[in-house]
Amino acid sequence: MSDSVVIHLGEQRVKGVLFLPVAVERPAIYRVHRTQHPDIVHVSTDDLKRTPNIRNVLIEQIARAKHKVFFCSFLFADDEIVRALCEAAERLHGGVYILTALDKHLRAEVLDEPDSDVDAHTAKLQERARRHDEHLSRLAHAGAWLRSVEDCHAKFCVVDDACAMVTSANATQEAYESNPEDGLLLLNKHVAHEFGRLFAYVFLHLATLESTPGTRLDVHSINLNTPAWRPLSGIDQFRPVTTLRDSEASLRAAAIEIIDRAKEHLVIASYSFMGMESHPIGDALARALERKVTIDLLVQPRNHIDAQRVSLAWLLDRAPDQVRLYGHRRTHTKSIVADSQSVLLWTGNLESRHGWDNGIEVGIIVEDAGVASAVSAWTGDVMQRHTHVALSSPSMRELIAAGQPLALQGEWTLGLSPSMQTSLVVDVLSRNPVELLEVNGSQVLRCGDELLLDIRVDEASRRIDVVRTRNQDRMGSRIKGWLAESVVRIVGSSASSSTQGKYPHKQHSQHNDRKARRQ
Amino acid sequence: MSEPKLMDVANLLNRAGSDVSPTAILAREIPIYEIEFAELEFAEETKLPSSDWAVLALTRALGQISPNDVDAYLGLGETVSDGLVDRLRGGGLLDASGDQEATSKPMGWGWLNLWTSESDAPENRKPTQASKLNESCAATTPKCHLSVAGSQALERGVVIQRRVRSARLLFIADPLLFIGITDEKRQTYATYQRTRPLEPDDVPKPFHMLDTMLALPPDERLSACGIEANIQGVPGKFVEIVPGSQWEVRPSIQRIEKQTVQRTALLALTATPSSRERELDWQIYLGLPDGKRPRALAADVSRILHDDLGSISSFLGKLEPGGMMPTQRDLRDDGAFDLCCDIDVMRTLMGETAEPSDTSLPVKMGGWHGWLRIHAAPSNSEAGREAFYAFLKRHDAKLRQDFDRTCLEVAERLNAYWGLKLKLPSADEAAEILWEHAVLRAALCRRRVNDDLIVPYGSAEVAQ
Repeated sequence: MSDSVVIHLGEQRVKGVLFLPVAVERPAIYRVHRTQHPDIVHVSTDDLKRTPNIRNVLIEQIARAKHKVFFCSFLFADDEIVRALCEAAERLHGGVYILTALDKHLRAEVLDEPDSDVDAHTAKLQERARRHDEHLSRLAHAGAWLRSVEDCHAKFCVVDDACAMVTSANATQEAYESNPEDGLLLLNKHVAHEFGRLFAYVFLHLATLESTPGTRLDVHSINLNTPAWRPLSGIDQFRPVTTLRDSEASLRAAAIEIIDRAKEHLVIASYSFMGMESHPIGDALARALERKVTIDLLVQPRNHIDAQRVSLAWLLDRAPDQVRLYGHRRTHTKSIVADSQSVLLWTGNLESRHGWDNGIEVGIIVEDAGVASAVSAWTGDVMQRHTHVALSSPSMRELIAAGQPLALQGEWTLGLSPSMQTSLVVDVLSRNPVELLEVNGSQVLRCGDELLLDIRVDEASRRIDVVRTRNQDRMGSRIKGWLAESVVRIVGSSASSSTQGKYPHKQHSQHNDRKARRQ
Repeated sequence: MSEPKLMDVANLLNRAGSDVSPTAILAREIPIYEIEFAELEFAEETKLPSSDWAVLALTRALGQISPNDVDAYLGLGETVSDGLVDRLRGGGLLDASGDQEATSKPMGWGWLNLWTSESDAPENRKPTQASKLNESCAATTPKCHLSVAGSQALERGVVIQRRVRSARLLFIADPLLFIGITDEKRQTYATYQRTRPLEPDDVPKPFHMLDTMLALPPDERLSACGIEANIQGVPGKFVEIVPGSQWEVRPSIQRIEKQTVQRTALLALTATPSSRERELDWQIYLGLPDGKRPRALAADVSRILHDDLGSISSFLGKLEPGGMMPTQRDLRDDGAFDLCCDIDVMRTLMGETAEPSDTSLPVKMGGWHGWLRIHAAPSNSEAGREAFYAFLKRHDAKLRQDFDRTCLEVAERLNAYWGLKLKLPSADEAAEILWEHAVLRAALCRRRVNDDLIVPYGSAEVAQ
C-alpha cells in the first residue's frame, strides 16, 4: 500500500545557533597588547601577517635553556620548534623531555577524525600526522626523551624551572602562523617550578608509551606506578591550575571562580562550546547572566557539530541582549577574562566531556588588570575581525535571505524505498530543515539532526528517489544548498517499519562530540 | 678461493669437537675435485656356497683331496667336481700340493704319478670315518690342501671376493686428500650435460701421483692420501686401482643462485702449546660443504705445511711481517700471546664480547690466513681509554640501569684483565664523551632523570 503526502519546505528552523560567513569582512587589525607586568608576557600568533610570535618566544626560551626543557604538545608538526628542541638536546646532552602523542595515541586523536567536512581537511590531517612522526624521529635521534599520555591535551613548556609558557597553540605550523592563538609567558620561578613539577609527574607516572633517545623512534609500552599527587600551588597574583584526571580539578574551579567573579563583563574565547547547559561551568555562566553580566564569546563556527549549536543556543536564549557570539574560522584561543581584572588562560575548551573532570589540561589564573586587559584586548581584536555571524534557530528562508545557497527549488516527488516508513519520513521532513549535501560524489539529504538520505535526483521527471538511509559517515561532505523553496510530495509504503528507516541521531551527536574533542 | 672467516673457522672447530682455545690457527679454502675412476678393486665378503663349504670341509677332513675324492665322497659327478676344485684353487681357498712340489721337484718325474691315488699316498691322508658314495673316474690330480684363506672361509662361512667397480671420489689436491664419494643420489645432471674433465695439463699436480698412491698397501695409502680400506658408501674394502685403468678429474661444482661455483673445503690447522718446551702441537681439521660433519684428521701437519712449524719461534718466523707481532717470550701459560698495544693496535684487538677477553690477531703465511690468540693490554693511557670506551659501549642495558656503576665496573674488569692499574675515565667524563653515540643516548638521558625530574620537585613521587 502506498501513501502520498505533500510537505512545504522553507519555514522549518535549524536547531540551535548557526554561523554564517560575514557578507563583508571588516578591516582586520592585529595588535600586540602588553601586560605591563615584569613577570608575564602575553604572546599571540599574528595570523594576518603570519608572524609566529608564540613560536619565536618559545624558541628564544629554549635556546636560553641551561639545563633542561619540558615541552608538552600532543602534536609536533612544526619544523622550527622541532629544530630548536633538537639543538637544545644536542647542546645540553639530553635534558629535553617531551610529552606528545606517540603511536596509537596519535592515531586515536588525529588520524581517525571520522567526519571532517572536506577531503582536503582529511588529507591535511594525514600530512600533519606524517610530519609529526618525522619530527619525533628527529627529536629521538637528537637526544630528546619522548613519552605519551593518551588523554593529555595540555600545551605548555617549562625551561629550567625558570620560565613557563601556557598556550592554546599546538606545536604545528598552522598554530604558530595561521590561527589566532595566544599564550602567557610566565617568568615567575615558583609558577615555572610548579608547572615543571606537574610535567615531571605526568612524564614519570602517567605516561604509558615512550621512545627513549636513540638512533630512531622506538615506541614501546611502559608500566609505571602512580604515587599521590600534591596539588599545584600559586603565589601572589599567579595560580597555576590543572585538570589532572581525578587527582586535581583546580582548572574547573578556576574557571568557575573567574566567571563568578565577573560583575560586568566576561570575554571568553574557546575553540568549541559544547555541553555547557548541564555543566558546572555552564551553571556559572547562567549565574553571571542572572547578574546582568554581559558575555562576549568567540568560538570557531563549526555548524556540523550539533552539540555546539545546541549549547550556544542555550546560552544565547538565556539572555539574548547580554550575549554576543563571534565566529572566527581559525580561532583556537582559550581564555576567560572577567571585567579586565583577572584572567584564566588554559589549554582546553569549553566542552563538558573533556578537560574539566578527566584528561590532562593546564591553565594559569592571573589576577592582574594589566595582564587581563592584554588578553581581553587581544581576544577583542579577534572578535572584531570575526569571519562568521551567529543566527539563532534561523528558518531556511532566513538562511537564504542571509546569502545561503538554495537547492532543489520547486515541486518534487520523493519516492521512498519499500522498506521505509512513510509516516516517519513525513514527520522528520515536516519538522526539520532540509539540506542538500554532496558526500563523496553522492547526493544526500540531511533532515536536521535526525535523518540522512542517499538520493538520486531526476531533474526531467522532477523526482527524487531515496536509495537508502545513511549512517553518520559524512566524511568529505559539501553543502549544496537548503531546500527552502521546495514542495515535496512523498510517495512510498507505510506498511513496513524496518530498522533501515530508523534514524540514528543519538549516535550522530556522540560521534560529533568525539570528533570535536581535541583541538 | 675466498679468504676464510674466523667465525667460520671457529664454527668448524667447534663442530669437529675441538674444545681448546688454540694459540694459533691457520686456515684456507681448498677447491674440491671429483675424480671418476673406471676401475677400482674392492674385496667383498660373500656367503660361502654350500658346495664350496662341503669341498673345503672334506679337504679339512681328508687333509688332501683331488677331484676324484670330491666326486667319490660328495657324489657331485666328474665334471662338477673338476670344476669345483678348479674354482676353489682359482679363489685361493685350495692350494695344489703339486704347485708346492713343482717348485722343488721337476715336472714329469715318473714316481710322482704313484701318489695320485689315495691308496698310493696313505701318509697324506688323515684317518676318517667318511665313506665313499661311489668309486669315481674323476681325475686324481691335482692333489689339493686347504690354504690359509680356505681355512678362514671355512671357519667364518664367508668368502672374500674381488670386485672391480667404477667410483667417483672427492679429493682436495693440496694436500692430496681423499674426502668422500660423490653422492650418486644427489646427482642432478644428465650425462650429456656433465662438465668436461680437466685437460691433463690442468689436472693439479698432486693428482699425478694417484696411480702410485692407490697401489700402495693400505697403511701407506692412508697416510699418503687419506683413503682407508673402508670407504663409506662403497661396499667391500678398497684394494687398489686396477693398473692402467682410466680416471678423469673434474671440479666438484654446485649451483648457487643460478651460478655454478666450485665446492670448497675449509682446512684449518690449530696449534696449542706442546708439553715439549717452546714447541707447538698441531692438529688438522677439515670442514666439508653440504652440511657434512667436519672432522679432525690424523695426518701429519708437515705434509700440509711442508715446513717445520713445531717450534714456536720457527712458526712465528714464518708469518708474514706486518704490524706488532708477539715473540716466543710473549707466550703465556694459558696459550695466548701477551701483546702491548698502542691505540691503533688496541682498536683492532678489542674483540666483540662485552667483557675483556683474548682476541685474535690476523696473520698470513703463504696462502694461509691465520690468527694468533692475543692477550692485549694497552701500552699507554690513551690506548687504555680507547679500550674503556669501546667496552663501555657494549653495556647499553647496564648503562641504562646504572650508568655510573657500570663505568666503574668496566674500568675494574679491564684493569684486572690487563693486570694494570690504569686511571680510566670517570662516569662524568664518559657521559660527555659518549653523547656522540646516538645509540647510548637513552642511557645518558636516564642518568639525568633524577636530577631533572625527581630531585627538584622533592615530592611524594617515587623515582622510577
